[in-house]
This record gives sequence, structure tokens and C-alpha cells, in this order.
Amino acid sequence: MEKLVLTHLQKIYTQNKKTVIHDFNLSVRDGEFIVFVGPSGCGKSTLLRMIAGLEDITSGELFLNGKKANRLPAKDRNLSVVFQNYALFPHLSVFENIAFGLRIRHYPKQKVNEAVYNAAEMLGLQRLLHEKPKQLSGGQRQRVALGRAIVRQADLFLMDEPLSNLDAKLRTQMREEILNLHQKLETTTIYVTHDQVEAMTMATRIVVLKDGRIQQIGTPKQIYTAPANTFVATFIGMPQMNVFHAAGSDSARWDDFIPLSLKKSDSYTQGRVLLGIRPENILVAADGLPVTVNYAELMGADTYVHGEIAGTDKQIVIRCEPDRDFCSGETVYVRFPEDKCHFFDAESGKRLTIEAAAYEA
Amino acid sequence: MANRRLITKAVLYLILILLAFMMVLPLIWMFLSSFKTGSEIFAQPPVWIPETFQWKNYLNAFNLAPFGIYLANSLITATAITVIQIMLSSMIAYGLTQLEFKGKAFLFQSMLLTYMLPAAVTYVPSYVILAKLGLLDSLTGIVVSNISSVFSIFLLRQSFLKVPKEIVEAARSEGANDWQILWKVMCPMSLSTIFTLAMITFVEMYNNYLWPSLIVKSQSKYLITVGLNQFFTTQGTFQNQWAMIMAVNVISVAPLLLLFFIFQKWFIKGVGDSGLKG
Repeated sequence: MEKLVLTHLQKIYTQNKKTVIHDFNLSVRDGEFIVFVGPSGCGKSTLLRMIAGLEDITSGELFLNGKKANRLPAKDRNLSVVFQNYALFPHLSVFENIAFGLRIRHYPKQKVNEAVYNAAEMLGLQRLLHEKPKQLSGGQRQRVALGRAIVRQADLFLMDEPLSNLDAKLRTQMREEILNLHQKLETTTIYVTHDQVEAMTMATRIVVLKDGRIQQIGTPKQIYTAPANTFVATFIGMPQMNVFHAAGSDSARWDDFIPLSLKKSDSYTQGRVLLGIRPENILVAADGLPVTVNYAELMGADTYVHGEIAGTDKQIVIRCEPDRDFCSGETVYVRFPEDKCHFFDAESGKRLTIEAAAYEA
Repeated sequence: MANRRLITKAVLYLILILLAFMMVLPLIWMFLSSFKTGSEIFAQPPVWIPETFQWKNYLNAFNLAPFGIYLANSLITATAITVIQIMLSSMIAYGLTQLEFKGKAFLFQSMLLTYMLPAAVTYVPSYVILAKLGLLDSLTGIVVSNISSVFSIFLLRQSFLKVPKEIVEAARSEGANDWQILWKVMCPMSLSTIFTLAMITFVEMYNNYLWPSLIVKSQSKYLITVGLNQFFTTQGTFQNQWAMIMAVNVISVAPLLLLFFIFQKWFIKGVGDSGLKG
């Protein structure tokens, strides 16, 4: 069943007439974990706030559980929001913070106690129930915010960058906890982040946004292996995908410096096509395309080699096994496996389904 | 260097102690004088500690005028005004900070504008309104004519503005309506300002003299301030009356001092929080 349907959603701020969300369409099925990802200012938080009822919808329709909810007040939407800065009530204890939504709905005392203790147990907060938020660490505060969200059995969880205030280690830990919670509760979740690692590891489906427009909707694997355009290709993946523009004008060919050629049957000429390849797909070989190494970063599990294609100013990043050392100025030879290459239209940036073959072949 | 700092500090403390003493001296004089005889009060050189404590001054004062009623009237009206004023001001401050409506800025500016008017300008129209409502010479009239305060609205608005937007949004998405957000989130989070405001309002209303003296005529409705003045004018200020005047003064000041000692912590915090000078 569709839990949330957004059709032609648009948001224009009346003050500056700026459109921040353009024609947004999405259907979310029950139990899905949807991640909105995109750079700062892409409209992902605005979208979340529109779903939450905290921001007006300029045009388009929003359906919650099959019912139109454009004008439904936030308090009546039965959804829980977890905010980036936790938004805990500082004057209330952890217990009362978690119980807030239940108390507002006048649940019987026994039911409140039961629900809060269950949530606290699930999140390991039993010992902190009588503390005030200011006495808690960042991770504990975020757990309380999660507790407040799960205790009410809301229809939808909305999470607005909930982990961005935590340090790297805690973030990984909380990521796991959120995923475990999702598996246990199976509540439909919409999660906003600018962190692609969170998007890739948590999502059932990812929605990539840029300037208020959907760039691609897909599973993490689809997004990674078949990015819809150059923006998605370069935004998802660390280090980002290498994208090579043609050497010059329309007639110029990137096979001048990359030994790959489009198949004759394809209508595109190479000057109009961008070639993308992920750093981990580039093979370091005994011969092939010469690359001058600028510097190498040992990341532990692998090494990122930054260099440029010899005789050009084209920058390239290669992800290699960590056991080989690279020196600055050294020349290495690389090959691009044809099946790992991505092609994009040079003008629109859109993905092209065309094939290439090794130049020599 | 350390010595010099110590001396500066010592001088500073000496000045502060002196100033504090000067402030508190009249209060101490009043308190001690309430136990003196009339001649002890005016004795030269001054007598600080009375030879025998004249406890009967208090009894005599209460016999001369119904100060108990005056005191009760003052406490009742000041408490009622404080409670109602803060409730109403909170609601207006909530509307001004959390609700979106046309003319909001204009409304707030108009309120501020009325604050610029000298209080005396409003006496005649307020008197006429109270007369038409049939509330002259009544405690209700005193309460009703004081329940709105631009200062309260302004102070609470500033305090509500400091409540983070996310907290309000969190309450809203947890299912709270505006009424619940106001009383369960905004007010508890502005508690120190509310305490400060309550103190200021209570003291102001308790000490209010001119306006109540205009609208109250019967003795049973007198506030302590009006009653005290009446006591002066009817009993005269002869030497032997002063001890009783001092006794009445001590009684009338006592609730305020008590209030300050109880809420001292909140008051200081509130003054600090609101960015106002103490």
C-alpha cells in the first residue's frame, strides 16, 4: 500500500518568489526507508517539512494513507519528526520528553508508562529516564529524540539529518541503531541527509535532489551503478566518478587521450559524449593510458592515486590496492574496462545507453 | 601587583558596602522605629535600639484603621492582576511570535506606541469606561483596568522569540495544538522571565497609588497605599503617631520583601535572561 504519495509538489517562497521545489513526484510504499540526499540548499529539508505539515505546499498534492493531506495541520498527520538538533524539551525529563506525544493525546497513565519503558529499553535509556536533556551526551540526546518518535507508533518517521551533529564513530553506531529500529518497527521512514554514506547504507530507495528537482530515484545499487546523470554520478561515490569531457569542440574526440571508441552504429559522435568511470573500476596495468601521479592518499583499506593523464590537463583519481606505493611524478599505465564506462550527453548531462569498444579493437 | 589588585578590590567592596548600607538604612530605621516611642524616634542624638520594644504600636495601628482589610485588598488585587495579566500577555505574545496573520507587525507597533503614552493621559477615558461598566469603587474595577500591559507583552514576546523554532515544531508534530504549545512548551521554557515579570507586576500593583485612589471611594475597598495616605491625612503626623506609621509601613513592606527572598534566584536569572539591566 502507498503510505505517502506526492504529485507535482511545488514550493515557492512568497517573499522572494524563489521556487525551491519543482514538480516533485514520489510514491512511498509502506515500510520503505527513503533517503533524500543532495547538497546543501537542494530543498530536501523543505520537502520533509512540507510532508510534516510545517511548511505550506504551494501547489501539487500530498496524500497520506490515501487521503489528501495538503492542508492537514501538522498535529493531525500522525507522524514523528526527528530534528538535526534533537529539539528536546529542556524543561522536561527524558521520561516526559518521550511521553510528550502520548500525554498530549491523553493516553492513560499506565499505557504511557508501558510505552515509555518499552521505548527506553529498546534504546538503552532506562537509567536516564529521570535526567534532563542538558545532562545527556549528543548520542544520548539523539536516542531520546528517537524514543519520542517511536513511542507513539506514528504512521511515518521523518528524520532531518539526525546524525549530523554526532562524531564519526557515534554516527556509525547510531546509523546501525536506526536501521535496527526500522527493521523491528517497519515504520515507513523518510530520512534527509547530505551524507552519501548514510544514503547508500540505509536506504531502500534513494531520492537524489539538486536545486529542488529530482535527479534520480532508485535503490542504492541502481544509483551507484547506473547514475541518471553526471550530477548523480559525481555526487554519489567516494572518491567521485572521473568524468572526461571531450578535448575541445564538437569534432574533438576524447579518444585522443582515452583509447576507447564509440561503436560505429551509435549515432553520437564522441565530441558530444562525456565518459565517466569510477576510480575503483580503473585498472593499473603494464601498458595502456599513461598517467602522471601527483600524489597518493593511503586510506587504510585502499589508496587513492591523484594524477593527470600524461600530455593533457585531465585530472584522474584511481582507487588501488594499498600494497603498492606510488611516488609523485611517477608514470603509471591504466585501462578502462569497457563495461564499467558510463556515458552522458555533454549538453544535458543525461545518461546515454551507448556502447564503447577499446580503441585498438 | 597582587597587592595593588587587592587594594583596588578592597576599596571597591568598601564603596559597595557603603552604598548597600545607604540603601538599606531607611528600612532598618523604619523597622526599629516601629518598636520605639514617639520621643525615641525624634530623640537627639538618635536612638537606634528602643529601650523597651513597643509591640503595642502594631496593635494600636490596627485599631486606628482597618489595615488588615487594606492589606488583603492589596494582596488580592495585586495577585489577581499578576496572574491574569501574565496569562493574557502570554497568549498575545504567543500570537505575535508563533502565528502568521495580516497586520501582525502593525499590531505590535501599535501596542508599543501606546506604551509611549504617559499613564495619566489614559486616566480620564479609563475612568469613563469603568464608570459605564459599573466597576467604579470596586476591586474588580482595579483588576480589570490593570490586566493588560504592553510591558508584559513585550517582555514575554522577547522571551518567546528565544525559544528555538525546532522545539515548537517538534511539539506541533507530536500532536500539540497552539494552546498546548503555549502552556506546555513556551511558558515553562520562559519560566525565569515569567517569574521576573510576576515580581515586577506584583510590586508595581501592590505599590500602585494614584489610579486606585481615583476609582475607589469606600474605605472597605482601600488598597494599602490609599489606606496609608488616608491614615496620614486623618490622624495627622504628630510625634506619637510616627511609631504606628512605621509599624504599618513594616507590615505593608513585609509581603514584598518576603516575595523577593523567595523568588530571588529566579528574579536575578530572569533579569539576566531578558538582557535587561538590574
